[in-house]
Amino acid sequence: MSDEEKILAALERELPPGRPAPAGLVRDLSPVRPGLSTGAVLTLFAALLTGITVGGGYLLGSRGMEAMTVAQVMILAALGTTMVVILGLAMAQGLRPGSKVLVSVRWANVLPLLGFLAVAALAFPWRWMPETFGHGWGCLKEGLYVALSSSVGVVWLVRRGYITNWAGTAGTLGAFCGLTGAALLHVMCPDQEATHLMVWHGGILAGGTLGGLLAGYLLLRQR
Amino acid sequence: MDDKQELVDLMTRYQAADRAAAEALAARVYPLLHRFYGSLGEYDRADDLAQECWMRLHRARHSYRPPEPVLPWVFAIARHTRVDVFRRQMRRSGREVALPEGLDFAAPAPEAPPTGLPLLDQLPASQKEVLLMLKVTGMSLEEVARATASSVGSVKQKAHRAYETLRKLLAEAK
Repeated sequence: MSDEEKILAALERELPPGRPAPAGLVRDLSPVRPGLSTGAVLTLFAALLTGITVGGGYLLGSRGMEAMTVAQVMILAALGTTMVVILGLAMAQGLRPGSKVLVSVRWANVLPLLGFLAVAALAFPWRWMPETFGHGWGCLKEGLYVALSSSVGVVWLVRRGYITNWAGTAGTLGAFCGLTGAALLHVMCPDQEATHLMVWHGGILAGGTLGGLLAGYLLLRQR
Repeated sequence: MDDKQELVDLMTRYQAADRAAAEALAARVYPLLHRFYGSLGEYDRADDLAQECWMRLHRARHSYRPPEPVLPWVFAIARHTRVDVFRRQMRRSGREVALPEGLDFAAPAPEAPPTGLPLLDQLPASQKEVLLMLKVTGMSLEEVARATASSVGSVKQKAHRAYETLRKLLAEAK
């Protein structure tokens, strides 16, 4: 008998037996639709982000787009796409218990903010003007309102799945809402300066993630 | 049809509200859950936990997506059920008031866990959990990785360490 077989035999002797299912365990049956595929979650996320950004930009103005160079727009589009993929994958696995782990939820909650700060610092000019710094409050408020509005779509998505890890997954949802707010603000806001972007637009991403984590913590306490 | 494929079939029919499939699935899954909780040192509460877990599985049945393996889905929910129930009890115990001495409201002693689990109890919780999933439920490494939301490498490492500890314990016992 090999070592492994010995261990298994010892464990088998030690483990308590499993009890059969009690009668009446199954009731209230109604048909349900299976959960969304990873591709569907990604597509819905991308559609929500694009819809809010394009629709919001059309309705509220796109002075931010006009203030950016083509290269800056392309860099931001690439960053946005990467973030949507990362957050969408994290969300898809968060909504389906037992699905394959493709992205670490912790990283998914932090990477969008880090990516945004890096791009803002490297791809946008630094023109520090203390007198205009205070204007950023308006940006932050508007962005957080947009983030809050996009959470309606996100909540609908959550209802199509089942979240076991509320603490992490709610942070991902919050990060996505923050991303939506920051994306629309980028289209609207004419102040395309590194400090402003990092503090106020980055603040929307950070606020969204923190808000999500807080909501997750509060929901966890209800369970 | 192999065992895992049969579970997928039962689960798919359960989602379509087939009572026979739901009962067959419960008959297959419930004993595994009961044994899993019992082996994690919760023998006296294994029934409660397994029933709570089944209720959650029922509520979450829409989140399963065929033809993915069923057991990782079941045990991902089972792990969180245990953690949630534990957390809930901790919260409640903080609000409990001690009764005056002399009153005997003690519940009857549980039927079994007779002598504890001398081998398994030597392992850290995370290794114990992985070993039980691998050996009690017969899940593959990849399936355990899905159930525990970790990587295959991490599961392999935990299983390896658990085996090493058990090997040493068995050698010492000789």
